Amino acid sequence: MTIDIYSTPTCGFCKSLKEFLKSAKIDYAEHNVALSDKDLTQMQSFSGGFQVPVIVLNKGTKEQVVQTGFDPQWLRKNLSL
Amino acid sequence: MPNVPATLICPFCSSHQTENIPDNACMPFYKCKNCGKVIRAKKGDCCVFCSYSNTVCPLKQSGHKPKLWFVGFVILGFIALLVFFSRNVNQPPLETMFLNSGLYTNTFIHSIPLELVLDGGPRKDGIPALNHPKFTTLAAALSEFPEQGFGILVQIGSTVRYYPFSILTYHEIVNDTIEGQPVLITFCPLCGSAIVFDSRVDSETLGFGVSGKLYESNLLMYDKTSESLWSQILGEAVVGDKTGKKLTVLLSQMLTFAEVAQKYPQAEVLSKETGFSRNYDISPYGDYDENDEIYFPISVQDQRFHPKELMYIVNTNEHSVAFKLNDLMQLKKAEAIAGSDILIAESEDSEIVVRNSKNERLPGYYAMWFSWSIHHQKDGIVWQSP
Repeated sequence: MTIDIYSTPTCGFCKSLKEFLKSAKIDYAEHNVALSDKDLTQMQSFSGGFQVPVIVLNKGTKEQVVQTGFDPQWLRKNLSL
Repeated sequence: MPNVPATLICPFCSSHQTENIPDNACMPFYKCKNCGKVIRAKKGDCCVFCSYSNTVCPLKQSGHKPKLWFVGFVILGFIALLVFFSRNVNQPPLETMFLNSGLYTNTFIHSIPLELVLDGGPRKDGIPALNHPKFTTLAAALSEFPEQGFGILVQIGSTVRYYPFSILTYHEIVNDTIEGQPVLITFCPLCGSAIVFDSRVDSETLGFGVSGKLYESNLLMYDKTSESLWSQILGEAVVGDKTGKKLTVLLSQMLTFAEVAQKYPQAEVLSKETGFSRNYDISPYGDYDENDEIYFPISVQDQRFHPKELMYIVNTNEHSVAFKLNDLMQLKKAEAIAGSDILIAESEDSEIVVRNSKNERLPGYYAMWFSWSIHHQKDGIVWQSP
């Protein structure tokens, strides 16, 4: 499973998400949408909005799942924690 | 945590849009539903709500405190953003610079330098305008006010109303209606400026409040329709959507309570029962009217008179004419050439009447010298006794 998160440096929920993943020892790829318009456009294509964080599991595959916002319950369920 | 509604103000088109602040995400970008442009949160803000709304997001309210390493990361991020934005993006607009005062003024439009708009101390409505003034009979008010205390008198039709400065000092604005005509009674204690306006602009009756902001040490009013800021001494909107719109000055007289009691026994007097708890017997400004101090910075200091010298002012199409009030009261009559017009001012029993060459009566108002002279270095004409 791959995990991509789209975030900004000033977003508290993004920080919480990253701390959550770090504590679960889960690797992820981070995309800073405040610095990259390309990442911002990509994030919009996934979530359809401008909220961060956006978490994309298995990006680009048939099993791709997208979640907007920091939701520990959703993470535990989808990451089998 | 339930979603919190907030009103976003688009920095590009100034439209107001209500959105819920998400409870588990930040919104650093927002696409305006009106103009379609994408708004970015200001540098350092987590979301557009912190930058462009009337509500700070719950995350910020809760005092989210990141760890030191994260602070370092954010600082580095700021530097990167600063470099990035300075090269790629126009500077964020100033449109919400007044939000901290509770104002929704569109600061994209202005006729004065925004850096000269200063905080007077109180926030918006911190000095509460009177919107439903109560009046009492003059006989009932006799024991309430000192005989030599000043106020402003307005007569419309057969109705005469008197607004003591001791009350106006604490409220600065009265939104009133006299015989069906909406009138705006204004008083700026810092400028001694007492001006009565017609509240109607372009056939729209505007309600006004005290913004808490000052321009050249003078009251900036705000209208409750657009929250544009209006300079009292200029009678003109200077910041906001209504910039350039002007108020019409109405006839009024500055008289003591004793003079009103003698000449206008039928006068209705603004009641101390304002709904606000204030001690109207004590001025919060002490001896400000006489001393040399001007509390807030001004851009022009004209030394011809003492800054607090009181003037009676009349505006013509070409000029603003300031009569030195004390001299006019003593000489009783003055003549001032204002371009192609000649103004005759006469005072009798402390009341002033100014007429132009066509014998039309012109409305005037009162203000301290410093406040008038700032704005009329070019078109101003000063009259004093020879």
